[in-house]
Amino acid sequence: MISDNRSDMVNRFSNKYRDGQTALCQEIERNVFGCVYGATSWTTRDEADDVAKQLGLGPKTQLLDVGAGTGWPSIYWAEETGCQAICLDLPLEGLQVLQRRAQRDGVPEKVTAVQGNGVALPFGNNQFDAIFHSDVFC
Amino acid sequence: MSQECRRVIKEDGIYIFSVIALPDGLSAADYKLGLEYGPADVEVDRGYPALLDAAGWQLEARFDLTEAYITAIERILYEEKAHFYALAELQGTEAVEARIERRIKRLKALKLGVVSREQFVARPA
Repeated sequence: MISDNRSDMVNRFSNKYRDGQTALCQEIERNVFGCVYGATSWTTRDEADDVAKQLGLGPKTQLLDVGAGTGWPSIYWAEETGCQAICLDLPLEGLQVLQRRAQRDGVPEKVTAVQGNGVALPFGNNQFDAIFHSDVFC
Repeated sequence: MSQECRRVIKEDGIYIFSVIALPDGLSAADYKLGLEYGPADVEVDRGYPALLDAAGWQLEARFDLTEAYITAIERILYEEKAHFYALAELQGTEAVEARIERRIKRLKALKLGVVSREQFVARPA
């Protein structure tokens, strides 16, 4: 059962993800971050390019993105590097946007959306080559 | 969460994350200001290096992303003010005003050095 605080957080982010699909918010996002993914983190495109290099992303990389939201920058990385991205978050709204975007960008087989909580990851031990999260509480 | 990430990473894996945080070594007054102007979850007991160490990570590098964050906030403030009425129609006037106010406070805190955005790079210890 999701607690009230977590439920509030999920609702808040779900609203942001919904708004993020409007032409107005997309224009603002493009002007600020240089790309449009309906993102809620502060990761710019330049930062995403730097992190991809640091993570050593490539076709054999299993990447876990915790608090992935609508898929920025994991979908971009999957497209650019061929990595396999597992995108985890609680709000279903964001994950649905993420799946549609991965489909649209031609990388649905490289991007997997998983609904779950970062404090109890629904994965086995020693599974990922790289883990990323941005502006998510640790 | 860093403990769970440690559990699921391969032994030769890499962990990178960014956070909005309170810089090390703030005075009591600046710390209070950082808490007030930072995000709700900005306070972390003992800081991120200690948190990573306790979770079984070895901190490999730490980068200050504050300048880029300041630029992004300045840009988004410009955009939100320029599109204020359209945003207010979508999200409600109060919500947009409150968000702009929060961003102005955050920007002030960043420029004062009482809030920062940092990136941490770690590997299994």
